[in-house]
Amino acid sequence: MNREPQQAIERIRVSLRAAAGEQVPRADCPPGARLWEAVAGELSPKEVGELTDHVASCLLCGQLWEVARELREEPQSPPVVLQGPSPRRDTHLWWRYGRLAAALLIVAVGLFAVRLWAPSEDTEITTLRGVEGFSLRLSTPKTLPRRNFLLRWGEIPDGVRCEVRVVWSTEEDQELVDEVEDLHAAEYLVPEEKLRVLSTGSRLRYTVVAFHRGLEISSKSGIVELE
Amino acid sequence: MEAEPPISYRVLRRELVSILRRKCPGWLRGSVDDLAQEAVLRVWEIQQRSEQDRTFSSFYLRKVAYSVLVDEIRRTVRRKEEPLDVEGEPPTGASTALGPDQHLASREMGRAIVDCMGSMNRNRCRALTLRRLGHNAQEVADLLGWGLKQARNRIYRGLADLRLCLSKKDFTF
Repeated sequence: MNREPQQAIERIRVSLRAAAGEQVPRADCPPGARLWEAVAGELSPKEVGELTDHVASCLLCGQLWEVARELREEPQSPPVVLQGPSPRRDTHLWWRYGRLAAALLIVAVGLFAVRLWAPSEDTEITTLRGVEGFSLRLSTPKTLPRRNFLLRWGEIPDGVRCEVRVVWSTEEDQELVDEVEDLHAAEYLVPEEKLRVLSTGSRLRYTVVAFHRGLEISSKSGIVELE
Repeated sequence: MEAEPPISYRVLRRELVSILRRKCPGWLRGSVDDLAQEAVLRVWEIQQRSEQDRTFSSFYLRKVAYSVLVDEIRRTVRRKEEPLDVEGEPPTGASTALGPDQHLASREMGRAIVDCMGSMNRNRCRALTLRRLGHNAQEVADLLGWGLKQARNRIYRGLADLRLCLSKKDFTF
């Protein structure tokens, strides 16, 4: 009869915890939600196996896995109910139609303004005070292939550095896919490994923050679909 | 005067703060409020897509809190190269009493273990990895789609392989 020496397992844990201090996140680290789903038994054995292969050598993900397991095992507490955006119960027809007309008017004025002032490309422009003539022009192509998921945001003058944050967003959830700092280029190629766990058609939201002499600006989000 | 947030949001925030306090590593404790705010925003965004009242189970809130925590830990480690111990509380048992020499020895062995597991039979490595992450043999079997006996065997054989490999590297295990 085999006996599993608990002490040996504990020794492995202690040693790996000590070695974990040397590690930093890797490019192929899976999103936190993926680790959670694996621990929760929401993934297929094949997917769990692949994640386990990563965790075997990535000690940071191993520690995060343990945190997920502990959290999952905690007893349930009462759920939290949040109210939906409840419509005001207005009974007068004139008030309903009046509001509808006002809304349509606002939309029409908005569309007119957008046509009047919008740039010719599908872009979002933000200006960084203190850098004359600099604007953060966020290109937003509708789709990009995973092998060349190249995000662009105009030109970067000397001395301006950028941070990029890419988030996978669904109806139910959102998850950080990639994040880079200290970029002095106006484009960033998201590594293919980072996109490996995402299926075709996934919508990714990205934002760029530009920094210059203590000032910073953040672009609005660009949405790109994974081909 | 600033409007009070609705009670349900206060409950949500309190719940998220509580989860994060329990699981935040010591070096991130000062950021718990910010992390809770980020988590509240994520839940709020999801809730805004719903026309009706929405119920968030404590399990779901933990998932959101966990996700926020993972992002922040990775970000901080990358930026500052903080000493890495992501556990909420210091580990219990003998490991808490490690002196500098023991810690160094443990770290050396940790490196050797990673090395040995990299060259181990894949299934044994998977079984042993999940076991050392705190799953029992039944959970290992369920997660990897194996039978219980198969999972147990692979854990034991993995341990035996590891012992052999470590002994070749002059580690006594």
